[in-house]
Amino acid sequence: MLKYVVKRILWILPVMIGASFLVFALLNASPGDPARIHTGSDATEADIEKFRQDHGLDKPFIVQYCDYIYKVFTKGDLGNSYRSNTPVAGRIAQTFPVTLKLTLFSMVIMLLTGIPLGILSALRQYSLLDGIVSFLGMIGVSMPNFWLALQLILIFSFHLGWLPASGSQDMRYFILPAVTAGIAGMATIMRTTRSAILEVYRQDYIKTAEAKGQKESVIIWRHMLKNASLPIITVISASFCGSLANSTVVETVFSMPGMCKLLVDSIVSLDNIVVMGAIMVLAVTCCIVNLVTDLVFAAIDPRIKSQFKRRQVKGS
Amino acid sequence: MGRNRKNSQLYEFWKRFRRNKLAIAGILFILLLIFVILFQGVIAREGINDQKYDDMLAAPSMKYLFGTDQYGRDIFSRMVYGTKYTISMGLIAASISAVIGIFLGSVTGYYGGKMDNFIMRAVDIFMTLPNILLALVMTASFGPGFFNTMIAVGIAGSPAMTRVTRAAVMGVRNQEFIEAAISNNASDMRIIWRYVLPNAIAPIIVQYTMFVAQAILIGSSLSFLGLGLQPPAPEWGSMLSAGKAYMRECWWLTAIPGVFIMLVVLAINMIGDGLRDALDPKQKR
Amino acid sequence: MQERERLLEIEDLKVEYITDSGVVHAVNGVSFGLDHGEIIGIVGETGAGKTTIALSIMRLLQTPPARMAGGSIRLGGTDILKESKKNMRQIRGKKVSMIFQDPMTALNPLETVGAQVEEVILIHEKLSRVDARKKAVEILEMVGIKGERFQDYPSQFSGGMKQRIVIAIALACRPELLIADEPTTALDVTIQNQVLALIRNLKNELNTSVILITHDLGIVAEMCEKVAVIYAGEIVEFGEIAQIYDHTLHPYTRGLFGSIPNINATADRLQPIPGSMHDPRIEKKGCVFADRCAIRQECCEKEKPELSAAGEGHYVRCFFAS
Repeated sequence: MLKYVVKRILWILPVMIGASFLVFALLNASPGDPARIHTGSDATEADIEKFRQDHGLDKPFIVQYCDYIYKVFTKGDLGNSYRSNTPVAGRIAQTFPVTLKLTLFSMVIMLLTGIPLGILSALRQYSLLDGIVSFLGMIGVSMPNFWLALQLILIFSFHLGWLPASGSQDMRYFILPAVTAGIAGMATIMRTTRSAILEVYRQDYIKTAEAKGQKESVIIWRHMLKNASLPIITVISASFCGSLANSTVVETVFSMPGMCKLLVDSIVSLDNIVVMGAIMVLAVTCCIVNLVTDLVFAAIDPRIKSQFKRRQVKGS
Repeated sequence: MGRNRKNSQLYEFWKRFRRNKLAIAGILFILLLIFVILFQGVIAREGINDQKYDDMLAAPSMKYLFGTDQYGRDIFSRMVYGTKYTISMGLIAASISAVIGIFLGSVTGYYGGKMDNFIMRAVDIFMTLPNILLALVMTASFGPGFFNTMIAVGIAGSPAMTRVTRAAVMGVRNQEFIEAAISNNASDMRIIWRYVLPNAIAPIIVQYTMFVAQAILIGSSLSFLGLGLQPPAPEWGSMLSAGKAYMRECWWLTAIPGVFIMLVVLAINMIGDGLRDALDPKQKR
Repeated sequence: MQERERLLEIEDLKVEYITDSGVVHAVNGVSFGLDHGEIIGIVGETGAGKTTIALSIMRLLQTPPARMAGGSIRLGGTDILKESKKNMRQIRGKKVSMIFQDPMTALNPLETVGAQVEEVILIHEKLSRVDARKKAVEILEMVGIKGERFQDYPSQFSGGMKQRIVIAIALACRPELLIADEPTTALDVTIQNQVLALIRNLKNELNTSVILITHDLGIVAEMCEKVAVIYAGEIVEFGEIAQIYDHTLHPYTRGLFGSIPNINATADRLQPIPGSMHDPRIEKKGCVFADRCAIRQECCEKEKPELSAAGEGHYVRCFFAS
């Protein structure tokens, strides 16, 4: 088991190197020369050349990449913004907590609503409640979140005046954004919970437990939920990353000073070095979430442990 | 005999699919939209850029079914002309992901070995980032624009498609009729194309359909963020984005494009659910 | 045969399934009895209603779609169909146990096998955890699983071993009645015999009565004292093993024998029973087997034959059985 944990943690390294190379190469291939774009139209050739040297853009691509990785690992330096020439790491440190808070808050909403509703509608399959929940789940995954965000603002901020429409001063500012970012994940968790419970419900080992004379409540908790939890955990971790990604839209609509808004703004203003840093932080976050998921999986499911005795771990 | 069996399989599938009223409703709605695209010039009463300064921000009425925007443009006409962007965003992006994903997935699933290992590790790397972020990075790289977003969204969806195809192909690969085909000296390409893929197609079709819906959502999100099709093109996401400044007084500017995006995605998701249930009877009792 | 006490008495059991396409009469007036320590075989093809009978005795049928349409199941004086849910829980696992067809899926994959045996003991016996564990180890060893494998998970066992564990769970509280629903169908032939021998030995040791459900007449001949042949939810022939094998009366039973290969016979081909079971959604006026019967007469279509005595303890549902 320990060996599995160590291997699984070490696996993050090649993934991150691969992902960073991929993103770095993509951004490097973008049309337009950052040196010309960000020095302005009245810049002299000398200004442009100086900009290139300051940001290391005069070196060949592969050297630039190695420099970047080297600085990240030795100094935690993600380079300087092309636009404002401030350190990217500092900007991210300022903005990431907002994004993380938003995502965690939306996770809480997702879990507290998605799982109970999923269980309830599975246990009352084909009832009216089940029908309503299933339909709402369908709408939840189909709704564009930017639209939902605007409608929530319209209702709760403009008409009712209950909640603020933009900013991130205190928890009240996070309610509408968290609901928006979480709605798709909530619907997915609900649907997955429902189908996982229904799937487990017709397994023979539930019959075995009933044949033992076990109480229904114990059967649900001990035999059904634990088995159904495996697909649910997978989808929870996917929903975490999904909600993180949704923050790009949500933070933009609610004008929250989060990292995902920084990311979108930087894409629009072609500040690729900031894009690189923000994407990497998001990738690391997702990687860690996936890692935790895999470890939880291994702790719950004995089949993974015994499988690992036989063959090497193959990623996530 | 073979043909007959195939037909009856299709018929069985259709019989199961037909029972799903929601899926049928979804298909009808999409057919309606395709009809709208084909006859957009007839259906739309105004041009997409006809500005009427007397009728700026008019509420929905008999004259302007969905109202007008801040330049006095008829929103109904703009919605009609915008339909093709939304539908083609979904279909083309999903098709790009399918072409890449089916190719990589069938090759890795069929051959296995080192190449499989290598490609799947690359897929793992791609999958570290959620779809929309991957699409965002690629848009940053390719530059904004409709075709670029379409390609970006398509590529962003291909890792998932690769995984689905690979799993399906691996499931079929070890069956006896494949052994039989191999022993008949059929070429690998022929085996994959004629024997493996047709038997692995069900999960691929479902993934394709579901990704059409996702691609529409991602694509319109990118447009909303200003990275997709640029104004004044009547793309639904960017119409919504443009309308948000007036949304307090003029609900129709944001509500109408939003509702239609949702309806399209909902319809496709319902078709996808119907397909999944009909193609995989094991899942439902 | 020595006199034994009656344990189970099923009378005129009727079970229906309510489906979208109509009411399915799965069990249609089945009656039989079982003594203490007796082992009875229920034989019939897939869909004949064998498992429905078993699940009715356990009261484990999902209602709806199932509906108990009539009859009674008496177990040592109490009518199971009238018991409360709470009492039923005390009967299940304690007085009546069941072994399911597929051992691969009958065990919870996320719990150790020991914990799963322990579970049934803790439900029914007032034992401390330590004592319950001791007893669980004992029972596992009784079915041939080493005690040190107590902490292993189902995925670490083979199919035959899993079925032993399932049997251990079923017999942990020494039930009076064991229902084995095709306990060997999912197993290899060599393992089949081991599992059957285990059931037989434990039955003798614990004086448990057994209902053995199978479609394999060979297994019945080896294991059972009495046989009930079921067709379309009805008993068509019932008797002691020798009566059924040596004086086969019902054409369906004869057909069943014709469908198994006989190593001594010189016949070139097996003789399958022509046709398939009639649609159980349609209530049939005449004999349920008439459509496929070789000795059918006109009256078979019009009137339903009663289950009538054809010898001491030998019953058959056919006008022309002789």
